[in-house]
Amino acid sequence: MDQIIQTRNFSKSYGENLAVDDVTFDVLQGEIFGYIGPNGAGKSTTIRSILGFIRPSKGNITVFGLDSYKDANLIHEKIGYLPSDPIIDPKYTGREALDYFDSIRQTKSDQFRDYLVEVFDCDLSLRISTLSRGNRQKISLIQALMFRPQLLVLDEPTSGLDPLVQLEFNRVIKQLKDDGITVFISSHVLSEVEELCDRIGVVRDGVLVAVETTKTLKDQAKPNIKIEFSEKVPEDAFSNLKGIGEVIFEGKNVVAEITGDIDQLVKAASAFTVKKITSTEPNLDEIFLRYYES
Amino acid sequence: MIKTLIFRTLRDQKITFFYWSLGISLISLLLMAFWPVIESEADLMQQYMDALPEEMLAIFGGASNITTPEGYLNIELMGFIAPIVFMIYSIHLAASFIGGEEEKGTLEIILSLPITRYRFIAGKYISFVIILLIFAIIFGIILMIGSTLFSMGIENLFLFLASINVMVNALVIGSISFFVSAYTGKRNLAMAVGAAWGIGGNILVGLTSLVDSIEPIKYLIPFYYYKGYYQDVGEDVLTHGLALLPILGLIFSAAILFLGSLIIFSRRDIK
Repeated sequence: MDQIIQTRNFSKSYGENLAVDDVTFDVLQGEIFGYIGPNGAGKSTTIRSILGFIRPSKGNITVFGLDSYKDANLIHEKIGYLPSDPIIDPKYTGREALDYFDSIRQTKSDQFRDYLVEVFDCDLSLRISTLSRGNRQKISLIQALMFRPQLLVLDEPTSGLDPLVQLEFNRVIKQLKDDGITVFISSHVLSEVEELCDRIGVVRDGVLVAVETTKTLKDQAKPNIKIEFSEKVPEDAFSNLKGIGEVIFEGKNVVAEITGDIDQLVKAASAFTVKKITSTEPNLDEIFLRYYES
Repeated sequence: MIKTLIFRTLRDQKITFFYWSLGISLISLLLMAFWPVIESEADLMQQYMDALPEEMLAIFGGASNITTPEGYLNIELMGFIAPIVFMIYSIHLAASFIGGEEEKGTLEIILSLPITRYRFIAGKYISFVIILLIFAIIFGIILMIGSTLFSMGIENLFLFLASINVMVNALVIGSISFFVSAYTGKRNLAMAVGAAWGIGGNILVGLTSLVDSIEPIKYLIPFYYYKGYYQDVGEDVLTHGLALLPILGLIFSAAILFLGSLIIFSRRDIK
């Protein structure tokens, strides 16, 4: 499979502040690659370097085999980009703005633009200055998607979108992926993009700490069982149980990490009065917190 | 692609342009409307002018014969007010074209489109020149109307050339702001440097005519080629037209600043 984006030992520093440190990863053709990290982790710096807005201090980035900085103009012909804080001149109406971007690209967006306008429920006749944050985000998303780019680079695309529009956004992105488009998507909230991503890179303090498939990450996340007892239970009754990982005691409650069969846990619990048992699904955000904190 | 950028930039500026044009037209016509009064009190006005300190006259564009229409227009409009209005408008435009867009954040989406930074800068600079040129043409037409209305009798060609002269001077000062804006992406800094250069240059050229030891400095200041040069050779644009050397000097300075902007913007990080 072709590499659409290749970063090799990419670093960017501003004076003494190292924003991105020695980052190496590939984004493959047709995949959706999530770039996840907390605010200030270096996600936007990486994205802006992919777009050629900033020059790497060390290492290099290639997109479609071209140097991201020197050949930015050629690369931009194939990229749809949504900045983290997209700002369109507030004087324009949505339609004027999209027409302007179209004419700079020397393209004429086909019915796909109309389709996106309908899906995201946009009113293009309104001035950008009168739109809410979410509606401005929708117009910016449409400008990135409307010409069916070969590569989509989306920096925090779901921020400001309501849940219904987020669902539509996910649907459109999956549809574009089915058409063979590659997507690079950043977010600081994994749960917003985990449904979309084939692979995920976790970035912390400018360092890429992991690149895994979403499935591998999910496999690392273990479900929990929470048992509420009528009274506080002795901790040694739940130690060294087969199929059970970490056990946390919270007052009269026990939260057990499930790593295998729960037979021994159920038997241990049956020695006491159980009021309630609840199971918690794997939570990828917890995995990420571990990466962030490690 | 570059045409789209230019048309859109011009369109974006049309309301601001209208108010600036209205402003310079009203100021010009108002000042010219006083000419019949000045003419009737010519001796008194000349005595008043002669009584002013040489230093003050130097800063406000040098001594002129206020009893002639050309001298009156030089003192009241072309020596100070018109270059200042053109300069402020030029700085405002030039600083907002890159620094303004970068600070607002609108630059990011535009530069993600397949337009090279060279073309972007060229498109913005061409728009800047076109706006200033149309502004100068309107100013020239207003001068011609005022000259006819208030019986000043100045040749239309010289009025037009004087408006071109003031425009080219503003072009150089605006180009300094354009360069700072392209280099730093900071609108306010670009405006401050342009204004300091424009006003400082004006004052400095005036001072060089008073202090012999700093006189050679004037040849390095673009503003000298707007007015000081003509005073040195005993001419003025309203009476003799434009001289080739100073106007080419100003255009050359603007071209160098434009080239500098082009190079610097294409090699720096976008904030």
